[in-house]
Amino acid sequence: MSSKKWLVAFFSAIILAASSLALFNVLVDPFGVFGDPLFDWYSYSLTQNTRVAKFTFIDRNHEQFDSYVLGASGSSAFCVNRLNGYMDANFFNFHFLGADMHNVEDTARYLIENFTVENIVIGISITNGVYFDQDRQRENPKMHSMHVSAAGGSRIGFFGRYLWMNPQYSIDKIVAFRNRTYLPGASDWFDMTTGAFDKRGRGAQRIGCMEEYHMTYPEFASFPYYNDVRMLQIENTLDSLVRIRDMCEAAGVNLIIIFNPLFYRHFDYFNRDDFNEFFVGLADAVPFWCFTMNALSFDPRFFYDPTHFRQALGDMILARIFDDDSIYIPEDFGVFVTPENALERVLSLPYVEPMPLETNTVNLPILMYHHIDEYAANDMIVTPETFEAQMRALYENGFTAITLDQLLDFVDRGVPLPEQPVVITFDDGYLSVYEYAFPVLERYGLNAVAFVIGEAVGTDTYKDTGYPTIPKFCFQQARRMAGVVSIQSHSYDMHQAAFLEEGRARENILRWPDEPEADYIAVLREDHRRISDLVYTELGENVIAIAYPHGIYDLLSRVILLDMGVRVTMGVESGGNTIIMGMPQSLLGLNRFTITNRTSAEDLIAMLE
Amino acid sequence: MPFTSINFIFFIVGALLFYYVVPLRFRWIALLLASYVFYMVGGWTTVFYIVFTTVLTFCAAQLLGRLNTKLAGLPGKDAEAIRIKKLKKYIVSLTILICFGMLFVLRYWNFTLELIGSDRWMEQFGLNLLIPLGVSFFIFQSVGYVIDVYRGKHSPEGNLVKYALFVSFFPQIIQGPISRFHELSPQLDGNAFDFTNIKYGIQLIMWGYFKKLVIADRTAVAVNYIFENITIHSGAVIAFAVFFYCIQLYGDFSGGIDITRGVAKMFGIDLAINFRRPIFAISLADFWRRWHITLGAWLKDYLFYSMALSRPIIRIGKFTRRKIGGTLGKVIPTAICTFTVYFLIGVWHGANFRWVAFGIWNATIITSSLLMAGNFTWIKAKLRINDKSKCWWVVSIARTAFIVFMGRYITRSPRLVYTLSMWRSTFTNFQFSTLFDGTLLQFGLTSLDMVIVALGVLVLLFIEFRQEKGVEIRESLAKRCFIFQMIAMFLLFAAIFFFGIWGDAEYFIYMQF
Repeated sequence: MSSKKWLVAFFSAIILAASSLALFNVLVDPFGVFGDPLFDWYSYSLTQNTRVAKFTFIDRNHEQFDSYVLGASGSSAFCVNRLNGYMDANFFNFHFLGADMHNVEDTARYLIENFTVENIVIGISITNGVYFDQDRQRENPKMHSMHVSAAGGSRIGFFGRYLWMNPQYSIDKIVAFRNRTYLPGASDWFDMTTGAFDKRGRGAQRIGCMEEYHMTYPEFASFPYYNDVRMLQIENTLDSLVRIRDMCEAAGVNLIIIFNPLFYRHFDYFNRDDFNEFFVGLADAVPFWCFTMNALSFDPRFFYDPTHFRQALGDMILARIFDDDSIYIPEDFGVFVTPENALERVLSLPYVEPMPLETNTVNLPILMYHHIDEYAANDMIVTPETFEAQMRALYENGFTAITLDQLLDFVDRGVPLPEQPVVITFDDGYLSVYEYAFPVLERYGLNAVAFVIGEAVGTDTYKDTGYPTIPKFCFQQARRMAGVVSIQSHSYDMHQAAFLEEGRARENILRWPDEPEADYIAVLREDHRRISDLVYTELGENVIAIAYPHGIYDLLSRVILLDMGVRVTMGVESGGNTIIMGMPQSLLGLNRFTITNRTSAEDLIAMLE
Repeated sequence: MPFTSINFIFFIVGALLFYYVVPLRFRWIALLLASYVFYMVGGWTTVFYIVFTTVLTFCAAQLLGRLNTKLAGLPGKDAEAIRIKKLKKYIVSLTILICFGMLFVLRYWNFTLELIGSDRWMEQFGLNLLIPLGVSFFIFQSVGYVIDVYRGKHSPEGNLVKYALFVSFFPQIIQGPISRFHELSPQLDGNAFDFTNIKYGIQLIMWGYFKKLVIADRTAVAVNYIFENITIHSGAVIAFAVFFYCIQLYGDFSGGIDITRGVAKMFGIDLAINFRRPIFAISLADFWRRWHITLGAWLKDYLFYSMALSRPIIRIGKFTRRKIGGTLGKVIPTAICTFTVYFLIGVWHGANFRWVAFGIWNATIITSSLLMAGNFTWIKAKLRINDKSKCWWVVSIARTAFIVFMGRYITRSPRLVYTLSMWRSTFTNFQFSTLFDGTLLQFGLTSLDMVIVALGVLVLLFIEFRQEKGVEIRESLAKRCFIFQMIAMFLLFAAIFFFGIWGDAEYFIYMQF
């Protein structure tokens, strides 16, 4: 074969390979540049590079939206559903990871020039004074640069970069697609319906006492005490912001600027003079809402990490701006800053006082009972006499057994709880609750919660077997207890007895190890839907709380239940609880003290105090 | 611009088009432009050094050339001739001093300060210089040229611009080979287009990419992982890491050289061979005749012989032969030269104690084998070993491989002191089971990767074995049928494409030298 022929074959092979590569990358499209034709998995593309996939997404879906949230990751905490409610708009969260004002300006211009825009909300982060126009300095433009439509530049270069990129990116996507789960994972942590981070997992974590939080997130304690970091991009950032303001004015777009809340150590991290200059300059450029330093800036539990505030704080911010009194807001939370009050405000920031812990947190012990019987055969059974003695002790020592509604009001709206609150709970819904406990509770003016197994309500045998069990109260009895005992979920039928089931038993709400995820999710949802419907139909009560059967749960089950409207979840770990105003996550995975027949009245009081 | 980047490919295509579009007599200018563009893309701030070296060595050679002409007309014992000879010596010494002085300051100044040992010195006199791309390669190459002119081996190049091309010729500037003027220069004048050159060039480049991306960069993953925290591993894992490092080093360096030679070939230029299948070396001295040949040859030609024939060494030789006598007496002068050469080979690689120790390790083994050559012959005779037999050949190869393998413990360990503990682990805490219980799969490589490495090495060994037997691979391939050639090309192409470690490719190890 002549060399010429060999070369023709060689170059044909190159062309063939190059076109196959391009075709492969277009079809798999890990960055969502070409519309993700096969997978339709934008959450993955967004996780790869937010700055590209959001543009492709909005190009195809802009009719659904008329308003946008812009900014860095902090802006993700501005919940678009709340904004939609407050402003009667359709928001899309267009934040990028580590966006600087240059990114925001490019995005705002792109949106205003190409689509109908009613509102723009921009979250300002303190680092906006430090970084500007960072994209071109980043190492891998595929991962970090913005879409060519917004950032400008060579379209050939842009698309070429994704056409002929390393196929490993595409292979990784295929592998990740095969391994994807219902929960956000390492390769997909965006919620495509809102554009914000998919916080289902983080939102399902229990947040309690400060010590526990510091143990889980040591980065708060180890955040550097450096305090002179200069903010050298103030001028560029403010100029950019002025251009955004002018653009919005010209297009009749309503612009809301929010200076995001900061963890106090993060605030201390920067040069104070620079910060003051930034703050006053910002007010001169455009009036804004300042949440920078507030009473909660000192409480790490309101932050994911020292530089990112939690969703709960984001909800408070929107409630403050839109005067929503259904959400708890601390006093002096948020000020609207104009050139007139900017200087006074910025000089007052270092003197903001932390919220005293006793103001917004409460220690809440929860008592766990099961069955009450004359004959206490095991620890789970308490005799009527002991129960009565325990309740009397509560009453005489000034404890108030509160309802779940009171608990929710405390967390959601900041309605104070009575002194020495306690929650009394009964698992499984035994008839003895009606027969023995209810009269005693009524006598002492104590409230309680009974967690019933939906399928077993009113029965005295195990379903379909005739096997005798401890009798359960029925709904008629439950109705008689209304106002004293609230009925909540212990699952509909996921607390099965293995030895009485023909097939494999659901002893708790966890997924079977070999069960397909989708099947399990359907099962758990159906189970929860059935108990919710049953309780609502029979008693008119919403199921907002669940005591996990055997106290066993995992992240997936938590997320599914929260998604279905559960607000309070309880386990069986022994211990107290810290409930925090404005922090719904403090109602998750609550500990309970197991009360046995051997717990004397004195022991009980000692335990609670 | 690393060889593995897509920009490099585009650059080569552009440079080739430019080169062959330009009329034949201007092609050398095209090549020079391409070389300087390539160099400046790599770091234009350090271009001064290469320009300075070029001008300095060019002028020195010019002067030497003139003096050579003058000298040619004079009788040897003439006073004028002696003066000219002295002058030549001064010129050549001064040039060498300046060139290597520059190299020393750029690469070894901080190391020397460290050696002297005080932080205060380091603070006060430490330099933070950007090291120019391929500095040791172009300095060795141009100094070699000056010495050749000094020795009258060839006359100096009259055209500074042409000479600049010799110094800066771009494919080799990064990691060698170190070319000789009389071999490279005539080829730089400009070559006619030839399909076969392009084909051979591409084949060589692909082979280089195969060695680099499929084998070396894959082994690098495990090597880097293990050496990150070398002290916690069992002896077997350490030995495995060093073994993989040997594969990595060979694949990386010889692959890089193949790419260099392939690129040059496409311009119609044959660069010096830098590797001659070192795995088949039968002794350590033989290994160094097969590994980084052009560096070894340079040091042999310009340092070893100069030293060996210099008056002080001859005097020492006479002295030791008289006073000590025997083999030892004879070997001492050679040993001095050997130690110097290997010390320099060591520090050429890196300014630290590990490389110094590596040089000494090699020199010691080579010298002791010289010393004990007689004993070996005697033992072989006693044991009736036929050193012409296949069996002995294999034993020799294994022995050499083992020595080289042990030497690599020195160069790859994070610090010299670790080498000792690594050796100790290998010999006293081997834990054979860790080779098979899945431990090796915890270092970033899957079992598929292991299979690819194994197959890659087998292919490499097969090809090199054939070459060792005298087969010219590309020529023999060209004689095969169309289908066979196509399959070979597709397989190699597919192997690189699918099994190459793309993306964050490792930089070529020898780029830093």
